[in-house]
Amino acid sequence: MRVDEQKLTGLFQSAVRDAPPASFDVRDVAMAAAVEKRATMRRRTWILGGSGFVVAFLAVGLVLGGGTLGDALRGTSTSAGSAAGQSTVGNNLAPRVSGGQAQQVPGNGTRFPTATPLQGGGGVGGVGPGADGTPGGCGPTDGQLAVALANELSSVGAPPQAAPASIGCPAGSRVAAYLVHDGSDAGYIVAVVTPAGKPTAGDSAIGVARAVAPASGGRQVTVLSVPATAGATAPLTGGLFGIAADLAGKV
Amino acid sequence: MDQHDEQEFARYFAARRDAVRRSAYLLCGDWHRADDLAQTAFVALHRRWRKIRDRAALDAYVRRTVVRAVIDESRRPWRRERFTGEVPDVADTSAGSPDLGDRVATRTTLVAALHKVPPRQRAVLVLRFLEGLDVSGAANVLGCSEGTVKSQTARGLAALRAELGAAIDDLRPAS
Repeated sequence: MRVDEQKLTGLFQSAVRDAPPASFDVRDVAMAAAVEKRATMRRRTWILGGSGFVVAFLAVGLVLGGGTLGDALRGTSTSAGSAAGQSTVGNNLAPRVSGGQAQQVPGNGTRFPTATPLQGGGGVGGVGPGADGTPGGCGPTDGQLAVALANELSSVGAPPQAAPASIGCPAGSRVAAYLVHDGSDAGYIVAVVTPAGKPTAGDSAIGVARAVAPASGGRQVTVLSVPATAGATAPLTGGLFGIAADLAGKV
Repeated sequence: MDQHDEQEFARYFAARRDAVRRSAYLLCGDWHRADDLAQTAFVALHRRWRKIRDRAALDAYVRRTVVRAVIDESRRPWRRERFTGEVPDVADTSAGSPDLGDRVATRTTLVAALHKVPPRQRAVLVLRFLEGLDVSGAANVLGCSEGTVKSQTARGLAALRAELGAAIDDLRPAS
């Protein structure tokens, strides 16, 4: 005996007639969608932060070879000033250490990307002098500062401003940087700890967002947001003061 | 989404939630799992709401999400469907309600048999005989050709008949 298709339709409809009440409503859906969206944004920030570590320090060599960070990214000259001209770096451009724990990412369970800073590490960044430095020739990445900055970036949200520019770091500065995406805005968040009595980093930088917070012992913590593309919006500018203040308490 | 979009989504959700749940139930055989599948599909739709504005496209997107989830799940041994054959709490098989008892028996038999049909064929049967899609509509949801839908329909019906077997007589209406 065949079950014809019309009867099958009737059977199917009958089988689902006594449905129990739904266990979810539209608010549950909206909430779940919002949670997923935040998780996706957070994952993108961390993924790009790790890979951007590589990109940021590859760009350094171009910057230290002359021209601004924006020039390095655009491949053209700008009137924003050259990193060499504005930098007050007195450091040599060699890594602080040739290897070892100072350059290792602490494995303390933080969400710091597992990519090891490039200085003296995997040989990445052979693009010229100071490929192991940071924008403006600020010296090699400080591992502790990098971990602290990484933790801050996950808690910062929101938007805009600033044109690309170069930054400079006083001698003896500690520095860390990440590439981040904030919606459609992409750029570098750079944290610099300058010694007491020295000018803050990026003093002469044009077009970057900057926040400065005092730290212990007369030091200053500067956090800058540098757009990845000339003329683009710097990311996370609304959170720079908060980041600077938090870092000042940790460095 | 802005408030207008949220309201539009809420209207669509209210109109389609139960239908999506019912399809998900026939696909997976369990109301709890059906709610999970349906909610997941609506969450995915909510996130893409601004990009999908045509009503027909909305329905196809939700159906496709549910069907793919069921088929994908069937391919993972650690998530393989386990049909319990349990009836929902709302069911009442007391002797005082013979019609309801008949319906429960019919539902249990049908859902159990349907669950033994291969997932893709099962999906075709649900799309065509519960959702009422034609061959073209089912092909659009499944992302396959109309010929494939026809062959999957034929195979699915044959598989279902084979599973229903002797229970066929029990399912025929007493008219």
